[in-house]
Order: sequence, then structure tokens, then C-alpha cells
Amino acid sequence: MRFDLIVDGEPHEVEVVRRGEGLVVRIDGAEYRPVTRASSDAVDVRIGRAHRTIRFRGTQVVIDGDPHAVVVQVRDEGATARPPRRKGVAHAIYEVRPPMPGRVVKLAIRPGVRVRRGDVLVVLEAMKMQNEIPAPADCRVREVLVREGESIPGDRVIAVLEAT
Amino acid sequence: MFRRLLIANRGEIAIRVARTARGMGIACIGVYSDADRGALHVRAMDEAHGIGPPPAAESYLNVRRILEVARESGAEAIHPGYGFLAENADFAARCADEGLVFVGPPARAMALSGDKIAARRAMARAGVPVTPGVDRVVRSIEEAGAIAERLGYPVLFKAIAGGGGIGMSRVDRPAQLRASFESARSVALANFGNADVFLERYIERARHIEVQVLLGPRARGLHLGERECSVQRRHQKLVEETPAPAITARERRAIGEVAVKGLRALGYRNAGTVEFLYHGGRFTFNEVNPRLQVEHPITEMVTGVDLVRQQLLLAAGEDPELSQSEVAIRGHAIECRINAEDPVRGFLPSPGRIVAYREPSGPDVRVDSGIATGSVVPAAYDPLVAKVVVCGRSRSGAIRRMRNALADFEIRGVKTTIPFDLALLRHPRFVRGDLWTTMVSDLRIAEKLKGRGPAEERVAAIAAAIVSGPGIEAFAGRIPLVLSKPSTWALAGRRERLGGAHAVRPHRRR
Repeated sequence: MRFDLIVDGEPHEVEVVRRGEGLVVRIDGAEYRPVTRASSDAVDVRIGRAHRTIRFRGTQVVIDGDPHAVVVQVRDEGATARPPRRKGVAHAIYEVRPPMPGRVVKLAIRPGVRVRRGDVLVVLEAMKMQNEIPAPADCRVREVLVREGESIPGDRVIAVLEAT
Repeated sequence: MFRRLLIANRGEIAIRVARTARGMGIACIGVYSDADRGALHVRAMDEAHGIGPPPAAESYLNVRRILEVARESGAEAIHPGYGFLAENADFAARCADEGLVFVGPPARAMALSGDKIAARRAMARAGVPVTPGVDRVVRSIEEAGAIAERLGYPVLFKAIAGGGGIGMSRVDRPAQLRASFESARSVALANFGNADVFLERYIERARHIEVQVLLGPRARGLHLGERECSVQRRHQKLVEETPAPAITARERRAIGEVAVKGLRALGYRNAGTVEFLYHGGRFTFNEVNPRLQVEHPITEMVTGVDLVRQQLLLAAGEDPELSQSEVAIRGHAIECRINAEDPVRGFLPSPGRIVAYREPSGPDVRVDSGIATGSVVPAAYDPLVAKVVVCGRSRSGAIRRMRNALADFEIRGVKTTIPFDLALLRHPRFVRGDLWTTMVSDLRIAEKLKGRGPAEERVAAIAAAIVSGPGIEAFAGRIPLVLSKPSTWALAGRRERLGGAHAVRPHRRR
């Protein structure tokens, strides 16, 4: 499960995967393996040696007595579909989004063309650094939603691809 | 001395220049792009003017508009900071045409510094040892092959108009020559509008050591010691220190004199830096940086000399305030550049809004910053948001002080290079002073960063609790009233400003 968790105004990209009894939680790419135990009014969370008791009060999450304002923004699952390990699932739809906001300095695709997994779709420049956004799988380009030279926010869909 | 100075830059360096200028009784005129309307540097000026849309080409590089602001605001001089127009010889010449003093070297010396081959030739003529290479443009792959054979692999293609570590391409084997030649040329063309490249021998495990020089209007010159900037990633400096741990007092004196002599030979004036590679006990010339450097504060820390003040005095026609014999180096200083980049994810740019911010302080801790709580770090510019500079009596004391300062530096809302800096400062090679320009990638220092700080662990706990408890649907899309909790310190400060600690009773918002 992937979502953005905004804690006290600071957004974090979160991915949670159940593994056996426990969870694997990735916060902005860093991995944690918390063990949780839920009771009627609280959840106990253990990460390594640290224990925390977490209660919920309206829009606030209270950790060991400290309240934090928390908002969850669910990401469209298709948006961040991961590249299938083997051959792409035929007709799976990918919405390609950038890893950060930036300016489109090069657009290497147009609707209708076929791309191979790893081909560069666009080059995005942020903070004077150029980042190549690759195709997640072998695909046909259905839509291109940005223009060369355009500055785009981090949650903008760059292109829609269909796996072939 | 000038009465009005235009500062043609943004962020921490604009604020840093303004701080000294205002202290000298000079009124500061700032500029800002549409992306920087509410930026901290705008508030540091006596007046500020909008100069155009966010892309640098339309604002901070917009010569016509910046000169227009200078005219309209009655500026007598322009300080370019670093980056943007700082090394643009045409801009320096335009300033002179308009009767404005450009705070930096004369346009001709700047053009010479910017042309790598011309600078190498001038330095070699002045008796400065240069890195082995060819002093002419390499025009064909055959020519490159013959030169590389003669120099011995590995070799390095460099853009003659290059700078900032861009346009360099290393070649280990003849088979790589063609691809490197072509990529170096295309990168050079894209970045500098000039595809010409030349070849140097690539020096492995070299240290990057540079000398700070001041040259007065009548060529009275002195050097303020060296800075070691070997901690780099992709030729971008991350951490700098002075004195350089590996060199002796005699080497310092010798290389300092060489640097002054070399800049004099270029007809250079004002503050400038000569970069060298140090390898096998010898120095070879690398390039001239004709500007105030990002890392200038470490020199200020150990010498007590305000480099911006010297720049302004020299630009106004005065001599340097001190002579070589008056330069004394005390203690050891280190600077960490704080970039809005995520070191855990390959230094991915991390623009965004700063939701919480608290700087370190204490004896011999200096923070030059361009941000505060609520600031927006735009994607359009350089990722450098702040610099932490510390000084200690010894190198190990400075390292300890830096670790404490970084641990106290809280920046929330964007990812920063602080976790990388902390890992570097703990690394035994760094602690020993065993430094070389590719150490960050050779030692995989960033790749070994896995976890993050206590704040992220708390977020992981919250995420786990939500998933195991009420579920994410219970929190989806709710907008809490208060997005960030102001610290009680900030509230106390505000109460004080409003007239005494108890003048305003805290009250709860309904």
C-alpha cells in the first residue's frame, strides 16, 4: 500500500507491505520493520528497541503524549505501478509521474510510439541537475501530458503508457 | 566608498554580501525572480526589485533587466555573488560601459580565467606548474588518440569554457575515447555554448587544494592560506576545510606565493582563487575561480578577514587592509554545504516548503542560510540552502564541533545532505585526514546510508499504527487546522517582542 503521510505539514512518501506477522514500512525510501499490537484505544509499535504507544484523537495522532497533525493522501495505485518482474502484463496502464518537481528539458516520446523498458521518456531538470525518467516496461505511449520547457509539480502525470 | 550596491544574486550569498555591505554603511539593492517573491534574501535588502519569471535565464541571468534596475535604483556598484553572472566577462564589461563598478576582476582577466587553455598558458609562462596536458583545442578523435598515448591513460577531456565540474569526461582505455570525446563536446556545447575540449592527464587520488588571493588596484597582493576541497561528488564540492591537513607550512607559503604570482600574470585584481591538484607531494595548476567562492567563510574563520569587505574596498580603488606578514592563521575551520537533496536516494533534488527550521549556534559556529520556516526552496535554482561553518583549535576539535552543530540543525519539509555529512564526519578516512577527490564514491559513503533520523522513525511508527489500527481511510483528505505546531521558543520570542513575556496571554484558538 502506498500513500503520502503528511505529519505536522511535512509530507512523506510511505509504502507499507505486510510480511508474515509484521510490517515493512518505507519512509522516503528508508526501510523500517515495526511490530504492532492494536488494542481498543491504542496501538503499540515497536521498532528495534524503541516502544511507542500511539493513540488517535480526531485529526491528531498522539505518540507518547505528543500530538501530531496527520493527513493521508492516497496515491492512485496505477500511478506508481512498479515494473513487472518478467514480461510486462499486457495492456497494463502506467501513469508516469516524476520523482520530484522540475522542468521538462527534453521530451523523447510522442503518442503512438513504442518504448522499451528503461528507454528515456523525458529529461527533467531540477536544481540544475538533469534526471532521466525511464519507461517502466515495454510499452506503447497512449498520451503525453507535458510540453517541453514546462515546469511541472511532483504529482503531475507526465505520460500514460500501455504495456505491450 | 560606494553608497549604494546592487546585489545580483539570491539565497544565502545575497544575504551574506548584504550583511557586510550594510555594516559598512552601504545601502543594498536586491533583485528577485517571481519564484523568490517571499524569499529571505529579499528581506535582507534595503530595497528589492522584481526581475522576471522563475527560469534563471529570464531573471538572475537577465543582464538587460538587472542593469535597468541598477540605473533606476542609483546603484554605483554590482556584487554578483557566485554563480549566475559572477563569471560572465561580457556582463563585467557591460557594467564598466554603464559606469558601474563590477565587484570582481576586470573583464579581460575574467575572460582569460574562463578560457581554460589561455589560463594554463599564462600560468605556465609565469612559472606555475600545470597539470600535464595539451594547450590547444582537440579537434579530432585521431588527434585525441595520439595525445592520450603520449600523456598516458587515464586522461580527462575538459571543456575549454567549462566550470563547476561540468563538461569533464574521464577516459581509461583507447576504446572509450570516441564516446567520451563526443559526450564531452555535446555537454560543453549544451552548457557553455562552446563545444571545444582539450586533454589533460587524469590524476588519480589527488587532493583539491586552492589558494585564496587578494590583489589590490596597484597589484599589491597577498594570499590568505589554502582550502582543501577534496570531498566532492561528481566534481561538486560538499565539505571544505582549512588548513589542508596534508601540507606543511613551507608548502603553504610556496603555493601561496605561486598563486599570487599566477594571478598577477593574468592581470587579475580583487579577490580570486587558484585551484591546484596536490598529488605525490607536488601541486599542479587546475583553474582560476574569478569570484567569491561558496567556501570563503572557512578562510574568514581562521584569518579573521572579512573577504566581502576586502572585495568592496578593492573595487572602490583601495589597497588590501592588511599585508602578507599580518596574515595569521588560527585554528581549523570546516564548512558543510547543506543542499536540498536526498542523499539516501542518490542526491535526488528535493525542492519544497520548509515547515520547521532551527539553526545551530554557539561559540565558533556560523550558519550562512537563505531559508527560514515557511521558505520555499524552488526547483529552478541551485540546491544549496545553507552552509554550516565551524572553527576549532585543532582539526579533531572542529570535527566534533561540526558533528554537534549538524545534530542541532533541524530542517523539515525538504530532504537535506545533513545525514551524509554526519556519516562522512564519522568515517575513519575523513577523521584521519586521508582525503582525495573521488573518496565519496570510492568509499560508497552515501550508498551506505540506509536509515534516517528519529523523526522518520516516528513517521514509520505513525504509518504502522494507522495501518494496524483505524486504517488509512480514517485520515484520508482531512485537513487539520494547524499544519505545523510553532515551537514554544518562537511563541515566547513573539510575546517578548510584543512587550514583555506576559503582555499577551496565550489563548486557545476555537
